[in-house]
Amino acid sequence: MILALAVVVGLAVSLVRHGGGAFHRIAAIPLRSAWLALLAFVLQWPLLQAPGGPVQRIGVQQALFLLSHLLLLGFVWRNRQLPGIQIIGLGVACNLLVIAANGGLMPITPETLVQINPGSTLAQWPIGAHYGHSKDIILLRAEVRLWALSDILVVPPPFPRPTAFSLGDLLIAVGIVVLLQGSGMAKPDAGGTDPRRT
Amino acid sequence: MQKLNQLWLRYGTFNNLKVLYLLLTLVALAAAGGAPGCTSGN
Repeated sequence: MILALAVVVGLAVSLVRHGGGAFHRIAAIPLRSAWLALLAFVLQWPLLQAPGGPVQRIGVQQALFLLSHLLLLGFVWRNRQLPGIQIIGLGVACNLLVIAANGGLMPITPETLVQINPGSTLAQWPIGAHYGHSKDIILLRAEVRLWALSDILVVPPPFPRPTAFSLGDLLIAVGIVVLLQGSGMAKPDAGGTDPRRT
Repeated sequence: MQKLNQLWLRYGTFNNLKVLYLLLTLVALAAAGGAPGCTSGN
């Protein structure tokens, strides 16, 4: 849920840039098929509730997780004309690519886990296991396919909730911030001042 | 309860509810599209 911060940041940036008009710009964003994103999240919920352990124990959750990506791609396609959505789509695609290449979960290395769990040791993280309450699988770096797209970026302590994230996650966050600026959404007859032309 | 009603009448406009719906959708999108690993996963 750390990525939800992108929504807060996007909203804050929009408020700074547009003041009271920010809400009108956001309300004017013609988002389509929002239910696809909401349903995708619901489908992933069981995986996010699963404790760490052998991957074999989470077969159903994993299947729902992969299915949810079809919904996400559908959502991106339906909204592809909106600014920021292309960036979000690229992020989702990057994550899906590395997840598919590594057996259906996002790879994370024990080294990264030690970084975000201060006080833990490398031996504490069983290779091949699901990292509990996440979409991650613990793999050695040498075993990770498309390593550059996996959870290799780290927000370390003293951040209240140390986190590892991927390039795809970063793209999704940037896309959300861009989308929330509502650029190009304001209609000229509704007082829009956006100079961009389509 | 009366205070809540007043707040609803003042802020529960169609525009504000639409913004709320859109923000919730984006939160769901961020949560579903991203795959970060946070501390204390096990």
